[in-house]
Amino acid sequence: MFSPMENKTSMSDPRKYSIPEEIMSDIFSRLPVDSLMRFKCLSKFYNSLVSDPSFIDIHQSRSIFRPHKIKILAHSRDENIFYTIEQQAEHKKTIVIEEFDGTPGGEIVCIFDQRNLILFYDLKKKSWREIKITELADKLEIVGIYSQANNRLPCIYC
Amino acid sequence: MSSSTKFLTLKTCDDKKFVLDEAIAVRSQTIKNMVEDDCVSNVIPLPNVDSKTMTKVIEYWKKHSEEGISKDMLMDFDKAFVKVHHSILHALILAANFLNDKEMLDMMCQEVVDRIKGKTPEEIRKEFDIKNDFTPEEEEEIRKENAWAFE
Repeated sequence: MFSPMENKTSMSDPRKYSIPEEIMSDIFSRLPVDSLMRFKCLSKFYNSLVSDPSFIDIHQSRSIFRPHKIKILAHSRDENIFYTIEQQAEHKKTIVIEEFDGTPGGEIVCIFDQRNLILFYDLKKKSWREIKITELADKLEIVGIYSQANNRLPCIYC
Repeated sequence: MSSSTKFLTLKTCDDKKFVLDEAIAVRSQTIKNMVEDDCVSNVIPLPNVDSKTMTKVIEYWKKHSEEGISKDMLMDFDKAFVKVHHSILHALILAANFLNDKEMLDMMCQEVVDRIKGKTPEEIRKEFDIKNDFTPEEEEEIRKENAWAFE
């Protein structure tokens, strides 16, 4: 029984709250890839969950909009150059850009955050602007997104 | 306030009663459905929620229903709200799931994600009471396949 006189330090409640598998699946679908691989050995349920095709679909669609630990590989059609665009945790508009291959120049696009906000970075002016997806369709393509944690390309998105 | 403010009485599994403005209580889709289907008599029983958890849920509902509250203030509130012992966090997840409050459930799940992503499988098993049903050989095999994730 809980006492109505709340005591902040009382953590002795022995009751276990077992979270249903459907909610655990939801929680797991938000985890980064390296955590998922580590948690495969939890039990048979989690091992098969992580390998389940529908779980992988959900995980990928969430990964695209996960606000950090994500790098986006972008390709500038004008210059035929690849870039990686990286969003740093907790700073929505501070992005580190590094060349993937070639010299800097032109513009790069980055899609992230839950509002589907599309930010366009001008490497020469070093400034951001927001644009509609239709305006950039023939200039740039996003060719992949990969996790900062392991430098792998878990999904191709273009 | 208008005279049409209606109040609902919620009764938790440990027989504590909470009287709450209907406009706030319907943040719970479960309660909203009951109200809309007109199957609310006097007291709404919440057999899956205890009073300690319900007190937290109502604290959250009231704050999120405050008029004129800024987004920043809500963000600060939410940040402080989720800073609880994991057993309370789990109880809140079950309550939000039963009450069908997606916004709250989403926030709680995200908090769990942030807490567990760096942890070891042993810590996760303990926290969530997960039974390891692998043989030691099977577990070793899976760990080997994913050795990079343990670095």
